[in-house]
Amino acid sequence: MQELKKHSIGKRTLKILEDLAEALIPSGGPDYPGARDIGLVEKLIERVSIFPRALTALKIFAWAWEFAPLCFLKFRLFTWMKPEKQLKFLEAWEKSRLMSRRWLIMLTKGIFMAGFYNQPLVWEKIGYEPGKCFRAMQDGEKR
Amino acid sequence: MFSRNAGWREKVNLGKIFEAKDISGEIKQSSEVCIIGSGAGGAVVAKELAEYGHEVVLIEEGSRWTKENYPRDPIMVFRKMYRDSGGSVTIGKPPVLLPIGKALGGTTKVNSGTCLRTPDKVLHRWRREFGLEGVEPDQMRPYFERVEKIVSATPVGKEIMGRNNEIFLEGAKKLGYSAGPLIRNANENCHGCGICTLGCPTDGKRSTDLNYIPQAVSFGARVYCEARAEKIIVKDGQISGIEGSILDPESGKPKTRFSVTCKILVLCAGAIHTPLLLKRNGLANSSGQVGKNLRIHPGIRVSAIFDQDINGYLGVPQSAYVDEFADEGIMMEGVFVVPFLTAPMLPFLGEKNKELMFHYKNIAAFGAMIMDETRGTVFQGPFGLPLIRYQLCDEDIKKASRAVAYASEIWLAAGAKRVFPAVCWMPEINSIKQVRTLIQRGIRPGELEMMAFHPMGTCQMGAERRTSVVDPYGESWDVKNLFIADASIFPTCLGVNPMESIMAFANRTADYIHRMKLNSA
Repeated sequence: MQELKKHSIGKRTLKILEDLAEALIPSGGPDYPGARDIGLVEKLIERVSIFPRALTALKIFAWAWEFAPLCFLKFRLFTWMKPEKQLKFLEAWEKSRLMSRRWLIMLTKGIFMAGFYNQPLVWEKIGYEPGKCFRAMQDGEKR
Repeated sequence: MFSRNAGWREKVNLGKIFEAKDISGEIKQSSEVCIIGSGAGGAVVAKELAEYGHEVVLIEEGSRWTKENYPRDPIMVFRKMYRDSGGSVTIGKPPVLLPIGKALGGTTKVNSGTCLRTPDKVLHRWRREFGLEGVEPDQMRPYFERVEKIVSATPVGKEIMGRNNEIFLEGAKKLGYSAGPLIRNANENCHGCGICTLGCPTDGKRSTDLNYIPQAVSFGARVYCEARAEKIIVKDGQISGIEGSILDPESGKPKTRFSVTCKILVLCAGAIHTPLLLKRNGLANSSGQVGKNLRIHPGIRVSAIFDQDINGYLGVPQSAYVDEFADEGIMMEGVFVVPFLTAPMLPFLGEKNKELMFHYKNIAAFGAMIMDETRGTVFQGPFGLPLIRYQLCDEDIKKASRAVAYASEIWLAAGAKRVFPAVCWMPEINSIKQVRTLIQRGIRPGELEMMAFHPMGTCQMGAERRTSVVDPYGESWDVKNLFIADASIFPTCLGVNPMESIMAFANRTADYIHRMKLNSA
C-alpha cells in the first residue's frame, strides 16, 4: 500500500485495474497463474510510472472502463459486474463491428498481457526459455 | 576502381564516434559531406565517401547500442531503440503499426536482416514508367554484389532456421508452392537466438554499426550520436550546412547545439523523417510531392497451433519465404515474437486466450507483405510527432485477404489443428471450407490487423522535376548539393524487404557525389 501511495493510485482505481486484468488473464493457481496470482497490477503500475504522465493516463484509462458499461445501457459500473459478466462485456468489444471498439480492446489486451507475459515466472510456466540460446553459446554449440 | 583524394591519410586519423556523454560544449564542424541518419542509407554513403578520401560527418539521433549495453528488458528495448517506443501508427482503416528503429545503425539494428535485391520487374518498371536511367538490373548488379559482400549476405542455414519456419515450408512444399530459405546479413556468430528485433546479442546480425560505420570511421568519418538535425542552411540556392541539438540520452532534451558547415548534405533519416525535415525547413518541394506517395509494404500475420512442439522463439524468426504469389504482390516471410507481443496478437480474452498462451511452445506464426498501390501521406503533427495518413485501397485489401487465405491454407497443409488469421469475424479456422468462406465473403479494411516495417516513397526520384523530389541520382531538383539516399526515393513499393535496395542505391548516390560533385571540384 505504501508503494501505491507513492504512485498516487487510489484503492478504487486499483480495483478497476485488477478486475480488468483478472477478466483478461484469469487466475488459476501457482501452476497456471493469472493476473492476481502474480500481482500484475502492482507490477504494471511500477513499470508505467517510469514514463512521464503515464500514471495519469492509466488512471483515465481505468475510469473510462469503469464507466463504459453505462454508455452501453448496462446500468452498472464495471467493478459492480460479476466476473463472468465483465468478461462478456469485454468480449463484446472484441467482436464489435466498430473498428474503434476492437482497437480499444486490443490496446487494453496489449497493456495487461504485455505486462503479464513479460514476467520470468510466467515464462517458466508457458515453456519460454530465452536463455536457451545463450546457454548453447556458452557450451560452444550451435542449436 | 576508385582513387583516393590527396591528404586522405591525415583525414583517417580524425575518425571517431562521439556520444552525448563525450560532449560538453557546442560543436562546430566543417566537412565536405554531412549525412543525416546512420541506417541502411546513411552508413553506406558515409563509408563510400570516406573511403574515397572525403571529409564526412555523420549525424544520428539515436544512441549507440552494443551487445554489452542493450537494455535487458524487452519493453525497455522498445522505449530506447525505437521511435515513439515502437508505437508509431498510421491513421486510416485499418490503423497500421509501423515500428521504426532509432539507434546508431538505424532500423538495421532492430530489423530481421533480410537481404533481397530489388526485383528486376520493379527496376524495369522504374525505367519504363518513371524514366529513370541507370537503374536496370545489369547496371545495379555491381552495387548489390558490393553490398552483399560487405554485410555478409548469406542464406539461412538449416541448423538455425527454427521449426516455425521449417514447418511452414513443409506446408508450402506439400502444396507445390515456391519457397526457400531467406538470405540475411548474418555471419557465423548468428546462433538463431530469435531476438533480432530486440538487438542482436552476438553481433551475428551485421547491422550497419558493425560494418559500414566502423569502416567509415577507419577512413576518417566523424560520427555524432544523440544528435538531432533541425535546420538546413541554404545559401544562394545551394547547401551551406546543418544545425541541430545534441540530446541528453535519458531525457531526450537538448543539452547543447551543433552546427556543421558542409558542401554536400545527404538526408538518410528514413521515409517518415526525411520528408518531415524538409517540410519543417520549407525546402525542396516545388513538385508538391514531399511527404506524399508513402508506401509501407503492410503485412498480415497468421498464427497456428500444432500438437507438436514448435518453440517458435528458437531459430531465426524470419528465415524462410514463400514467393509463389509474388506476381500477385504477396510475399510471405517468417515472423515470430516473444510472449509479451504474441499474447495480444492472438484472438480471444480470458481463459480462451490464456489457454493458447500456455501452449506457447506449440504456436507458430508466418506473415505476408503486400506490395501496396495505396499512397499515404506524412504530415507534421502536434508536439513534433509525425502524422501518417494511410488508407488501404480496395486493390490492396483484396491482396491482403488473399494473403490471409493462402497462409491459412499452408498452415492447414502443414498439419495445424487451429489457425488464427487475425480477422475479427473469423478468429479461428479449422478447415479449408472456412478458408473459402474467408475469400468469398471478403475482408473489409477495418477487419484486418496489420503491421508494416518498410515505409518508402515519400521523396520519390524521377526524371521530371514537376513530379518528383529528387533526380535519378538522388539530388534535389530545387536545392543544389542536397541529396536523399534512403527509402523515401523509391517511386513504387519494392515488394521485398528494402534494406539491400536502400544500401545499393545509396552506394550509387555516393559514387555520383564523388564523381560529379567532389572529385571534379
